[in-house]
This record gives sequence, C-alpha cells and structure tokens, in this order.
Amino acid sequence: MAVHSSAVAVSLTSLAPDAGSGLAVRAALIVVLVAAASGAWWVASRRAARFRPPKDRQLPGRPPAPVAALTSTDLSRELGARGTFVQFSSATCATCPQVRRVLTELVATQPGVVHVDIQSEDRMDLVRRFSVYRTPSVLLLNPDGVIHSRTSGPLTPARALAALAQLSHATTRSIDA
Amino acid sequence: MPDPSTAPHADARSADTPKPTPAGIDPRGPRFGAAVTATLLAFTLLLGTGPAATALLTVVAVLFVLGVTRGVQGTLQGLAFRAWVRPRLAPPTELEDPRPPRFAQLVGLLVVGAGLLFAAVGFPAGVPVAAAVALVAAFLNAAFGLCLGCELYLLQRRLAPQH
Repeated sequence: MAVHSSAVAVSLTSLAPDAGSGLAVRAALIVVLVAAASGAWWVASRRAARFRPPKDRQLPGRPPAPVAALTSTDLSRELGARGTFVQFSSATCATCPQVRRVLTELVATQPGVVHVDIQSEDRMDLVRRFSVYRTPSVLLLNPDGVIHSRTSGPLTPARALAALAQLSHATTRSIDA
Repeated sequence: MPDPSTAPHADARSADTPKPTPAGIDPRGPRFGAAVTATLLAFTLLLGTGPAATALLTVVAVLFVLGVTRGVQGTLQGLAFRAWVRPRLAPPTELEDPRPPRFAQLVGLLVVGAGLLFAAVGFPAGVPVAAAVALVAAFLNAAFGLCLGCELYLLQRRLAPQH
C-alpha cells in the first residue's frame, strides 16, 4: 500500500513538477519544441519544393469557378509562347533573390519562356485573386495564361525545368487531341 | 583583406536586380544571431518563471530593439559575427537584403514584448510562453535558414483593408 501511494506521488510530481524535477521537464519541453519545429519544417519544405497543380477551389453547391488565368494585361507584358513563370516577391522576402536568379538563368536558355517578377505590395489584387500566402510563390502559366502549376519557397533549377517539361508535354497533348 | 560587404555586391547589382536594394549583408550573420537568440531563449525557458527568467527575456527584448532600430547587422550578435565568426568563414556566395531579417526582428520583439507585458500585469506564464514561441522561430532560422517572421509580412498585408 505504501509502495502504491508513493508511486502515485511520483506520478503526481511529474504532472505538477516542483523546482527539482521542473528543470528536467523544461529541458524536455525544449527538446520537444525543437523536434516539432524540425518536423514541421521538413514536411512543409517537402510539400513546397515541387510544382503542384493549382487547387480546385470549387465549393459544393456553387457553380464551377472560372479557370484561373492571367492575361498579358494583368502582367503588362506579353506571355511566353511556351510558358510564363510569374514570381511573387516582396520587400521582406529572404528567398526571393535566389528564386529570381534561378528563373532568370532558366529563361535565358529556354526560348519562348518568360519570367515576370511581381512586387506583391504593388499588386495585392493579384495576390488575393491567386491565393498567394507567402513569398516567393511562383505560378507557371501555359501559353494561354492558364495556371498549370505553382510552388512556393526556395526553387532549384532542376525543379523549374521539370515543371516546364511537364507543361510542354501537357500543351502538346492538348494540341494533338 | 577587402571588405566583403562591398566587393560581391557590385556583381549582384549588375546581374538581374530590378530595383536598387540596400547594400547586401552576409546571410550567415542573421543565422548566427538567431543561434545566439535561440540559446538565450532556451535558458529563459529553463529558468521557468521568476525574476531571473524575466530578466533574461528582457535582455532578448533589448537585442530585438537593437535589431529593429539598427538592422540585424547592428545588433550585438551582428557585431560579434563580424568580429569573430566571419573572418573564419569563406566569403559569402550571395548576399541578402537586410530588410527581411529586420522585419523579423520586429516580429520577435512583439512576441517577447507581449510575454513581458503579461508578466508585468500578473501572468508570469507569459514569459515561458513567449520564450517558447520565439525559440521555435529563432531555432528554425538558425538551423534551416527559414525566416518565420519574414513569412508573416504578406499575411499581414493581406489582412490590411482592401482598396
């Protein structure tokens, strides 16, 4: 009985720690926080790294939303004949220059591909219209300006090229059909 | 040794920057600063509640104030980085706009300041809670280079009234 009650006391102290075990609990809390943050970062960066098709934002019982597309008027420049990378940047964006450099270099080697860099503060209309929640975000448009895929966060040349190849494949297929 | 903050910037500007930006900073500076901040915040959490924890969190708040008013390169961590860390590193491959980390310092100051305010009006738990939130952000910055405060900028702009 005495053993039993002391076990209960121990488990109670771990729930309501006093000064001694409190330090261990706090140290454990720090480890948990850091581990959870690392895990969340890992999941988020894996999700963000690829170009994905835009989410279908159609709500049940509502008419289908119009196809998400940008025109040359929206961008005040001509769309690329093969595709257009629309980058959303902002003043407080640490990764935007890296993405800008990747896309500038890609456009220089890929004919018919255009890169447009939008300062988000100046175009909050487009930010809201295309559900941009973070910078950098990149939309890849097909030759008609329809959003083919999108991504956000750091971008590698390989990912951008892969997205472009996938777009070219989709465009040729629709011409054949 | 030539000042690395001016030399690589010349070719960064000639490359493809559409607008003139403030002189770039070594991106490892803010990350080093975040590592120092994260360590201080971890000690704050270890201290729990009480005068010692509040004092340490106040020190962190003062560091954030320096970061907001002078930019990350003007904080004590920034000065320490330039004096002791950067001379041991290779020159940076690319420079970073100093404005995003400065904005993040403001976000950090708001979080830590709120914690201190709660403690001042009789909620001592405000100190560890604020320290925990700020620790996550500082750790992500130091370990992975993810600037959580910078991510909040566009969200805040979206919440602003439409016009």
